Amino acid sequence: MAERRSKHEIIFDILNLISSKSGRVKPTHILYGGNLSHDRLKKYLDELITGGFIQKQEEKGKIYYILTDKGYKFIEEFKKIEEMTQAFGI
Amino acid sequence: MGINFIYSWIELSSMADINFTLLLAKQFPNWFYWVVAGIQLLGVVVSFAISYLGFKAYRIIKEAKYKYFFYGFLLLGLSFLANVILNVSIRLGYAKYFVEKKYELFMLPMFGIYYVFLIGVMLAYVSLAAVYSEVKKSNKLWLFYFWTFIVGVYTFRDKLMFNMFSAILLSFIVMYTYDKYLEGKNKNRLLTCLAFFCMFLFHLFVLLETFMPIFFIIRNSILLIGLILLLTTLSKIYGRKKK
Repeated sequence: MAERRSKHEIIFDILNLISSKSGRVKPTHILYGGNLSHDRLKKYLDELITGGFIQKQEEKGKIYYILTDKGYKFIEEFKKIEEMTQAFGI
Repeated sequence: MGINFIYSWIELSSMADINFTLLLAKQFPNWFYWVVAGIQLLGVVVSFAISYLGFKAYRIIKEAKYKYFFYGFLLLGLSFLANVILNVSIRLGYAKYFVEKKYELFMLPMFGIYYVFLIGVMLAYVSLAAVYSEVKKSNKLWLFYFWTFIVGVYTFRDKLMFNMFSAILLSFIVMYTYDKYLEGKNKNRLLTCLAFFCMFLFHLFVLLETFMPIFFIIRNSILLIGLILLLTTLSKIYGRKKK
């Protein structure tokens, strides 16, 4: 059975997903790719907007989420931490 | 009474160790001791760089293991730094001069720096052992810190006891890191395990150094290998290409 993801892992997965789509995605992409319920995803997205990791943008009646510099930086930092956790076996 | 007690404590303990170091200083050419100070300086850089990673991890993830990992390498870095200061003081002849003259004002900071080194090393190993043994209840860990501190106070009198206690703590860390390597078969984990094993040998070989001064060179060379292994792991983490 797969291990439950921590809050930070979920945040990383969401941000990484946006990054893999050139830093700009529709909410449905995140919903499918993030493997989360609609309510939980909304909670995480609100938190990420408040934290300045992503921005909400409306274009021709459609909603997009855009990764900010802070979001890109978080992805890099998190990858480094994962690498460290792996390397030191902690 | 208090200050006299400290001075007599210094005379009983640190003098013995500093004098022993001074005795060792006559065995090898002077440049070698600068190399040793260089090795310890490398230890400062590597330990602080790893502790910075641990700090960043704790700031983002807020898990206890990252906090103890950060504490562990921070304390190790501080200990290496204290050792560099002590070594340079001895090489420059300050320690010898002040030990002979019993210049108390100088000896007090020396005493403090030596304590930072001794207790810092042991508390660092306790922190790292806590990371690997996945200690969850911090109140029990603080008790372990407390007793290690007490042992540290008394090992001041005995260099051998300090090194043996450090070797015991490191033997646990080596075993834990080896288990972690077997779990993941990750090359970096093997490097980490070998690095801690080198540190373990560094402390263990002090037993032989007492009888054969050549072990002073051997154990410092082993420490250098250990630090290079940690540096290799670190460079792989920092040098990871952005995708």
